[in-house]
Amino acid sequence: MLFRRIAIRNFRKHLSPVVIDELGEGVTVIAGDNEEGKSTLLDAIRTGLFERHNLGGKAADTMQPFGSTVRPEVRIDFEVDGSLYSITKGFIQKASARLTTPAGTFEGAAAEERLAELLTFRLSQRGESKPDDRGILGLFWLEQGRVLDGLGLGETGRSTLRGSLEDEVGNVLGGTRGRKLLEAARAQRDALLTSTGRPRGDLSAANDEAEKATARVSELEAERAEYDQEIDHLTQVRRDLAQISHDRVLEKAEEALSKAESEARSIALLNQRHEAAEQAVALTKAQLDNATDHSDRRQALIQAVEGRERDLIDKRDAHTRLSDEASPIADRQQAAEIEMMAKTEARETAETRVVVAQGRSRIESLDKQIAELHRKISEIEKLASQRKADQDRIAQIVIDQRGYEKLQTLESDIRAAKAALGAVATRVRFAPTGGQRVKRNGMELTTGDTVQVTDRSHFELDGFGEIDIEPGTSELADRRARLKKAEDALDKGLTGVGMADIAAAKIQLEQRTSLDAQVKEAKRLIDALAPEGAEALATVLGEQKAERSRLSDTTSALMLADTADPETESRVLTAAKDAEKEARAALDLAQKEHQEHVIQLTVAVTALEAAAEAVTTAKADLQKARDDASDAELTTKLESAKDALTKAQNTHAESTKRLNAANPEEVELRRERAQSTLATVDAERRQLREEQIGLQSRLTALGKNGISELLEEARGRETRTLARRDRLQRDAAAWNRLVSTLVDAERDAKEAFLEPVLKRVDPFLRLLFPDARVTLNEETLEITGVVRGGCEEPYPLLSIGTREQLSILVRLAFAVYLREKGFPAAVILDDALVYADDDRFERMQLALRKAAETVQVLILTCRPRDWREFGAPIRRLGDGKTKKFGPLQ
Amino acid sequence: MSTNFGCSCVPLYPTCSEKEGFEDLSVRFLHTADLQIGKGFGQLPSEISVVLRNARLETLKKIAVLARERRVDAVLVAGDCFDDIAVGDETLRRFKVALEPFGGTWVLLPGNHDPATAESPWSRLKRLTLPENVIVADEPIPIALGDKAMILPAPLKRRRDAADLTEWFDTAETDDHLIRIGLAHGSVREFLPEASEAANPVAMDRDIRARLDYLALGDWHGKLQVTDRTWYAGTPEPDRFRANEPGYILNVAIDAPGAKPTIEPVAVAEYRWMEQTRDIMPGGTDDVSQGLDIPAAELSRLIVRLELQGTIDLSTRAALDEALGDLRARVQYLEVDDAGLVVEPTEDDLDMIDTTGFVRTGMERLREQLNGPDAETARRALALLYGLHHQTGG
Repeated sequence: MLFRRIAIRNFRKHLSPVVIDELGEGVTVIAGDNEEGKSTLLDAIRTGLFERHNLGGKAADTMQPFGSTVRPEVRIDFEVDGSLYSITKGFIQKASARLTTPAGTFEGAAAEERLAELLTFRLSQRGESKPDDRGILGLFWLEQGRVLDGLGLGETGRSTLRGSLEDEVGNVLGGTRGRKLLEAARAQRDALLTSTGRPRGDLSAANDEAEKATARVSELEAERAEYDQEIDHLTQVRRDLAQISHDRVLEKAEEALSKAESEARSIALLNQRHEAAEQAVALTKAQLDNATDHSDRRQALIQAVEGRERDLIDKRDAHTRLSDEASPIADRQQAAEIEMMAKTEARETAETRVVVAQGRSRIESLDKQIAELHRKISEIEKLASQRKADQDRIAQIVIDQRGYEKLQTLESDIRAAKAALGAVATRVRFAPTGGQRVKRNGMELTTGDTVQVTDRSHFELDGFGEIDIEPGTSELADRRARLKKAEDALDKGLTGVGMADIAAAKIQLEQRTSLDAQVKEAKRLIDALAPEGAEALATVLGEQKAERSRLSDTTSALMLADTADPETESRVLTAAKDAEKEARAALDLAQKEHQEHVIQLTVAVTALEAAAEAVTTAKADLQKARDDASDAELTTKLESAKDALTKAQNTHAESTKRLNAANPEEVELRRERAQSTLATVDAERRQLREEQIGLQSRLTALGKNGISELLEEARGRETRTLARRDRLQRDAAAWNRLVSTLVDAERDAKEAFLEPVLKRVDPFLRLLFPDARVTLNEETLEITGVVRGGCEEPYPLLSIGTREQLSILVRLAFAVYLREKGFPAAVILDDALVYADDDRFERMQLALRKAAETVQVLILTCRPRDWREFGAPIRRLGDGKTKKFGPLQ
Repeated sequence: MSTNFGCSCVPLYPTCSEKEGFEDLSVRFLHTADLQIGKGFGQLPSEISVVLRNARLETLKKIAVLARERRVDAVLVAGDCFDDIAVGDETLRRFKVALEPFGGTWVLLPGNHDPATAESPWSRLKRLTLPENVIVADEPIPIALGDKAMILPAPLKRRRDAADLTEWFDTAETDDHLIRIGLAHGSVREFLPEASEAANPVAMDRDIRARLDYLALGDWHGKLQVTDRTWYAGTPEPDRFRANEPGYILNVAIDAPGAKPTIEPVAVAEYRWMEQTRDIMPGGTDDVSQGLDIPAAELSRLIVRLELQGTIDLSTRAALDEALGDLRARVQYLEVDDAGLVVEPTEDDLDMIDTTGFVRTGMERLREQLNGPDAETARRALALLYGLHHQTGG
């Protein structure tokens, strides 16, 4: 489609006609300032094309210029496939529509229906047209602010586009029916399988059920096997019992036992006889033992008497030997005692001599110490006396170092006052030529000297007369007063310390310093002589004197004239002590020997007495025994017992022989075997009977519930659940196969369906977004996102600018595609690209230029300068106002 | 070894002829076998198996009532009263109760399913105290039926016995005036099909060799005449899909020793079992219910198994499922084996789901897989899609 001329009149803002004509192929820019009526122009075009001429109501009222009641008119001349068409509509008053076509002119509704058919839009049945009705023109009609909402294809536009795509690639998608089927299949599959293909829902339950049923069968089969085994066991038990009964095993064992027991009884009799013989042997043996014992005891008594008599002789000899040793031992003890006494005395004498020698030595030492103490005390007393005299003298001297320094300060003040006074004094020098005398205030001056006059002075000059000088400087009085004050202060200070002048004070101070030094020296000497004080010296002296007196008394009392020095005496004492110790040891030895001898003698006496007693007792015992039975009687008894034993032993040998001949061991073995057999068979029979009872009771319990019925039921259930599981598994696999096949087919279909349009989009997209690919919803054909670097970015999340540009680019591609397919496409942009930066704006212009190679592009803008370098013709709205609307035919 | 089991045997129960007070040498009895009470039918859904389990007891009651009504001398059960030696106490008690309608002599023979082992339903029944008219023939000892007949039983003491346990019948002596009736459970090998049991053989000429007036056999579940005097009664209540005339008892009358017995089969079955193989053609689903050839009123007592084979399209498969669903609602139980039925989706099937779009592409891809290694999954996927298409409103 190619717009050639657009004319409006009495349409809203444009009361006067506005005509945009000579519109050519490619891009045309229509420029107008804000409020100049660009959007009104667009509305007028839309109204002219899509609205019914007899539109009424509010929609119609909005066409009227404000405050007017006129007839809004729109005329659009355009070309389709090289043929020229013109649609002219007048609204509200004398509403009319006329379409001029190469085939003729159509009026009113017919004109509008023809136009809708030509431009692929749908006439509104009632009221204003809707975006959905506007067909592909609506698709490429980009008004301000609308581009961001996606493509907004509208039903008729989408239908045309889809129709075109289906014409090209066929109906590969299958529409909602296909999707419904896929969703239903997916729901069926998802009811049986999880997303990872694991069983769920009925399939999972069927698996569990089958597993349980199989487990139940195993359990019952085990029970059944046990039941059958128990029956087999019971059969065996019964057979064994019958066998025992049939073979008469028990009876045979009883007979064997009976026979063995009879034989055993005969052997028992032999045994009794044998035991009696054994007892007889034992009895005679005991009697022999008794006689032998008596005989042995008699011999023992005789030997005892003889042995004890020998012992008595030995004891007597020992006693005699000890008695002989007593006297020499006593003598040795006595000699040791005497020696001991002598040595003790010598040691005591030596001790006394040591005491005396030590006392005398100490007295000598004390005498020397006492003399030294006396000397020190005398010295201290002398020093103390001198020190006292010096301290007294110090007390009389008033001046001290501080006082003296104070006086020196006062004197210094006087000198300063004098100097200050002198500085302002009137200096007078007398130089009498003839050597005349000069007196000042009556006192003669040395001529030639300069005299300072600080107060009123009276001079008498010989040969001249008298002169009174009164210095007139005002400061003199103050300085004089200062001097006076200083002098008074010194006088007062001297008077305070009783000094005539400062020199006397100095002498006094030096005396004081000297005396202080003497006092300190005396103190130091006293401290050296008596560090702990003079009283301590006196105390020590007293103590030493007392000790000496005591020692003197002691040594005198011992009356020993010639003692040697203490060391010598001590050595003598040590020797005396050693000698005493040796004597003591000798005495101890002698005393021990004596004591031991006494003990031995006592023991020997006791032993002698005991031996004598023993002899007496043994003899008495022997005599007593002989009184009971003589030695000859005992011998007779012994011989008789030996004969009896021989007889009994012979009888015993005979009975043993007979017993052995009866073979009691064999009989006993037979009896034991018979008993054992009987017990075993009986136990076996009892056990079998018990087993039989137990088995019957177990079988009764097991059979109660009917294992066979339960098992068959369980097997049936297992078969059914396994079949159901298998069927559901097959179903799940089939649903899964169906869904995956349909999903793959759908994916392939989508790709195939959109391929033609995406092929057109790509070149446009590359201008702005190299390496990007747009994705579209195959149903709505809306942009769903952009794939960049392998990642899909959803459309709503893209930036405003990108969304705007993408939306325009895709529309341009659609327009090119439809135009190529012969549809009447044209693109109108109303102040679009407001979000593009300079670079993008420039690239978008390239895209528009590229699109304009195929479709007409009308750009309405309030910024014509942005398009100046674009190279497209720019039409100004203002220019259009001067043109003629053209006749409404 | 021969033993004379003459008239010294005391009649256990007065026969009907005695009660009527005149001399009558004839004997009338019902011959049945293979009741297999306690059979679980575990392969069937539990609600059906319960019905079939109970049906066997009901049929036994029916036999007892019939025996009473026909005033027979005895009911002989030729083995396999019970399905297994390990049936439950409750089953045993219910069995006892089922016998009650007939107060005449019951002679129950242990068979291969319920042999008289050390512990068996027989030992347990005895512990439960059986009424005097119920005789467990668990030993090979003759049993007198009044003073007219002698029953020679050949009880099984284990499931499988290689010996012919009826051999002793040959040497068992009885008084000449007594009718000799053999009672055994086993296989007349030379007569029965090869599929029959090899164990527990019974000689085909045992009736002649043992001078039997009648040999009542059990083990073969269908009614079957072996000789003039030897019959299998078959199970009175069918228990499997085998068309060998189950569901009868034999009403036997023997007028005198040596007389040819009169046999009257009486149908007593509660349920009928039927197995059919059907070839299904594309579009041919009507045949499913029509081919049964059973009056509509009797369908509810039918246990039916259909083995389907053929190659059909998806639409036929869907229609077939519909038809089978309808049949299932009419019969007691329907089992379908469609392993031999191959579903090959046709172009029309696929067109019905979708002619264009990705679903169509998916279907084509699945169809390609029908020749691959996992064709069954792909086939099933297509069938599911077809079903889904119908469920979601086609």
